[in-house]
Amino acid sequence: MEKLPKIVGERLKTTAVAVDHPDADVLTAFSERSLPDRERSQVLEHLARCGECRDVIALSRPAQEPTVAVVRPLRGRWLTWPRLRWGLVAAGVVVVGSFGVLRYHASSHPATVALNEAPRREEIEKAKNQMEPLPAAPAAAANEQKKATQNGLLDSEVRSKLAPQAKELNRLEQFAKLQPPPRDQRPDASGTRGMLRPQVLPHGPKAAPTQQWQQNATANANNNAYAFQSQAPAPAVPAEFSGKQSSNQVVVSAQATAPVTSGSAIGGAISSDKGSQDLDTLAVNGRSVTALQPTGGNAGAEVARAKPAETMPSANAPKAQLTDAYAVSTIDGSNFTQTAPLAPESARWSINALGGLQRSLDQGKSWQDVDVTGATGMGSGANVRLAMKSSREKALAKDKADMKQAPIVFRAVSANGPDVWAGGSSGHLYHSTDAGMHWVQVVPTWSGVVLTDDIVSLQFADPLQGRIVTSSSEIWTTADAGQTWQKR
Amino acid sequence: MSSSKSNPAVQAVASEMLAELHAKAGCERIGLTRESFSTILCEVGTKYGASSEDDARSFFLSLRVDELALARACAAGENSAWEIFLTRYREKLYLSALRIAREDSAARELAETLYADLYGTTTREGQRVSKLASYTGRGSLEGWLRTVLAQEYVNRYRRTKRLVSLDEESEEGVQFRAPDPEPVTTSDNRLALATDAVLADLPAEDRMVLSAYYLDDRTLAEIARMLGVHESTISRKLDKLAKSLRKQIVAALTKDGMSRRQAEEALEVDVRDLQVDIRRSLAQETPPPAFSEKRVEARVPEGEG
Repeated sequence: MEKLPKIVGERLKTTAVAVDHPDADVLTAFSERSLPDRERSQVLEHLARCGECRDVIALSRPAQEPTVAVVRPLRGRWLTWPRLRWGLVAAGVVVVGSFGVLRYHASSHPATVALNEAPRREEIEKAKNQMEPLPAAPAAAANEQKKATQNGLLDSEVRSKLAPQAKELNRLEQFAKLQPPPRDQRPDASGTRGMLRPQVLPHGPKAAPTQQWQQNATANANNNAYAFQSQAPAPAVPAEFSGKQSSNQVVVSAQATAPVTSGSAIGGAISSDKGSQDLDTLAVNGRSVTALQPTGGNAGAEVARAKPAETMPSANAPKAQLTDAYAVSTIDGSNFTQTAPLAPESARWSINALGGLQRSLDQGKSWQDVDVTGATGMGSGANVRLAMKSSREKALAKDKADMKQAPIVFRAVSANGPDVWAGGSSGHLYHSTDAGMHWVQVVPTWSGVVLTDDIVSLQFADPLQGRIVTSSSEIWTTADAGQTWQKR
Repeated sequence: MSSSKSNPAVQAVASEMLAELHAKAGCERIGLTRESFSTILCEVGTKYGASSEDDARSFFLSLRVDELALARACAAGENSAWEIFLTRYREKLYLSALRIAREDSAARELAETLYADLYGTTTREGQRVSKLASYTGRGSLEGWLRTVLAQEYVNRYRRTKRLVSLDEESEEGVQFRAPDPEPVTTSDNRLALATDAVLADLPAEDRMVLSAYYLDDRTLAEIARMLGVHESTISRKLDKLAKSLRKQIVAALTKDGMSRRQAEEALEVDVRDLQVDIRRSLAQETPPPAFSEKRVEARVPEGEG
């Protein structure tokens, strides 16, 4: 600022000429900035030369102006802006932090084992301890041991699918397992099939399947003396389920409507979906049986034979039969060894970037996509999957007509052992009680309101108690494994 | 500022708008008749020198006719008008005087002097002439009063009481040196000419800022308030001006045939001459304590460099 050459100041001084000073009126108007431009420039020109008038202007400034015009705006700005700015930053941190905490909670919840399930598990474990030393054994050694403990293996695999089911069933199972001679897999196979039946019921057709159950039971009983034993208390079990079903508000849309296209003739008591689920189950059984082949060569035949009895009216029953046979004949032991030691209950669940549901059975080393609409078995061969696909396509096509075939984008998954819930776009909610083997779509409704918003968060503290948060911040809760819902 | 005697456009517009302005000014309350108000409007409009009817119309609309009427009624000696005037402005007048004079006794004296002028102690052709009669309503009456006080102060106090304050002292120095006939650019006339040319090209506002800052030693805040802009604007402007002036003067000198180095030396040399000159002229006039702090500070780098 001091760099101005002094000659400039000197010349400024010498150009100062005392001319007619503007009168007080004009100077006042200049100070108050009410002069028109023309006059203002005249006054400026005069002021540039006249030190006296500059003094007058400087002296005549109003008293309040400096504090108002200069100091206060500055102070105000310095007092308010940083606060606002830091306030915004703090708010951002809080939002991000709370979001992170919520996410952490959401991800840490499902790891807990359901309280309700604990007693059942214990029972199972007790039974297991007597029979199967295998599940903990490494995969390589498993091959050897398998043959020696075929029953135990079969048992464990089947049980893994059964895990969350009713206590009675587990007892039955133990009965069935404990009673027969260890080497006889025939009754075992049908016996377990008998066990499997009720498993698929909870989300199955609404019609109480008791009768059908009994029919099947008797059908199975033809082959298996033990089956009678196991099915003796059976009617009580489906009755319980049917009771639940009748009070259930859950709309089981996809699978329940399936029979129409699959041409089921048994009054819809057993849907095609159920049939295909059976098929799936059979496939598993078949796989188990495959491993058993060295000792029980016609296990597959038994399975295939038993199959039509269950899904007889189903249009694709023959196909299923074929598939079964095929599966039995083609699936080899290696396939079995891969899947057997990996308990699905320990499956890890994840959602990939595209919103697809993924499952890992090997502690996250490899991931497989899970198709909830056509749930596959435990990677038990494409042939099985294909077969099931063909049986299901029609049904699914119809079921999904109202879903417009849009791919479901999953956004949340919650797993308690084999009990898995997955939720995603447009209120799609799927439930599996067998670690992803079978899926049932659940449509939460409450007072006639259907959940249609995207599901952004799922928390199932145990298999019964769950909590869903939707994209519209609605919170839906269930206390009975998704059969009834409350919206908050 | 124009002194044309009768302006038909102004008269036409004044008579056209008389009723409106008369009512707006509330002349009835303070005993100002339509005729006398019309005369006042014509006088004010003529003084402004409106070029056209539109110009005159917008001018009349921009006037503070109520304050104009009050001032003129006071000038005419209306008691009701004086009552209003005193209740409104007495206190403010004294506070303004205090701000300007910065001490109570001087402020009182200043205010009393102004009151006398406003009331009209001087007579012309047997009639009192009130200073309020020169108010034309272009600015606020309050602002006008402050300006008149400042003018009074500048014209009278600074002359008679030279040693009242350091600021005044420095101002006095400026005032004193301005007519100083002593030639300071004896070394090279080309430098002065070039500087004059460059300065003449500057906008009036820039020159005013330069003068206020370098000659009057006004602070940035004061200059900013004079022009109604922010302090930082003035600061930036001064910085820019100092740089560009130096550059332009050097450019003008090199155009005149000087080498660039010569031109820059001429600027520096002249600074030294000037500094000597300032010392001399100030030393002979005022004792050292009379320098303002800023002036002293300003001289230190000059002495060193």
